[in-house]
Amino acid sequence: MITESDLRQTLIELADLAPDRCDTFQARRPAAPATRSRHALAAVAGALVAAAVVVAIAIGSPAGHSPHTHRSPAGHGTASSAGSISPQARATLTAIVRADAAANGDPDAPADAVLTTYQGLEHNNRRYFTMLVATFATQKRPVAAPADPLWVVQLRGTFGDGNTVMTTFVDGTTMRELAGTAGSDPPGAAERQLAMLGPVVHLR
Amino acid sequence: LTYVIRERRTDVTFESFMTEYQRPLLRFAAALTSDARLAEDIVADVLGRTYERWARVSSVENPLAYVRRMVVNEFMSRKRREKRWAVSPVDDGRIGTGPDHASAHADREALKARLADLPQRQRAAIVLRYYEDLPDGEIAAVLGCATGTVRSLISRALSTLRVSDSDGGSSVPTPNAPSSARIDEGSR
Repeated sequence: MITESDLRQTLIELADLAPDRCDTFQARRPAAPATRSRHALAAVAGALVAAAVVVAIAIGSPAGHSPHTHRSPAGHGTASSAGSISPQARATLTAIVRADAAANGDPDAPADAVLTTYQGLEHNNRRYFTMLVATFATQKRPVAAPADPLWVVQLRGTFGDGNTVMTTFVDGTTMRELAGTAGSDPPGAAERQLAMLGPVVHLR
Repeated sequence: LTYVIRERRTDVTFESFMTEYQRPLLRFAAALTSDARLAEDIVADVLGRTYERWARVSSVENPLAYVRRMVVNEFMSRKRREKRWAVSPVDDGRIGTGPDHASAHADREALKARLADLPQRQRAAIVLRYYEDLPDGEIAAVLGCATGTVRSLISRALSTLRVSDSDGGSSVPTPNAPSSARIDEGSR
């Protein structure tokens, strides 16, 4: 005989499954193949930051980079193509770099810069922007730090089902696979979006 | 943090709301979904939207109730999209449905399996009643239906779950399930 008390207890047991918070990227990563080590993740993050710095330098170069487009197919741009990035990508990268700087100094600046940039993006670009920043932030600082809930929510909340996108991205999935993972997007949409952010994406 | 939201009617900032209610909302979502990862995704999504609408959310009488309703809506919405998204359940060994030599434990495992098979609205009604200890009226508000419908949903769900109502009223709080009741008081 199952009683209401049993039902309550069962629901409590289910509730106990809940994580303590909307946790960090690593904590919620699906069981990854053994070949995908933390070292690989760290390398990705390091490359990402390095790319951001490179691009930021390019953006800030007095020589100026005219917005001529020489984007390679499917976003396989290189860091040297920084001059071709769109205004959105520029803003993205600038925000990342600011976050990087702020991570070493002003703890409030990252959220400020990132949110400002985020809010200026079109809806479709937000997910990918978020993906990049979350990837960066996960490696640079404890994303789910209780003292910084806003940061967490803003990064994670925009993902929705796109959470998988971030995971596969950091794991080194190809952009075509990424496009498929993006779910409802039509074929190529993710590639186009990511191509806009080519200099960073390339450094997976 | 520099982004402190200015509320219209309450003193609750988004940050403080997050700090206080994130965990209870996650637990609620886990009870709703039986899936820690899905619960986390749902709550993250909902809190993200909550942030974007914070001026409005914080101006309602009970922000937690508002957000909880968002969680339920997101849960039901995701269930509808389940085939498309094919969310993988967390396999942590605690929600298995295999046989167990202890009959009480086995009963609860079977109960979990039957809970997982309930239609979304029935599941939501059950969790709101037996986990959150909400009265019919509040459950109706969350589900957007009449109180009679709530009673019907719960009755059908209990029948499916094969739960006897012999051990007391359905809204009697249990010592271990005070989360939202306590929270509601704190948020007002």
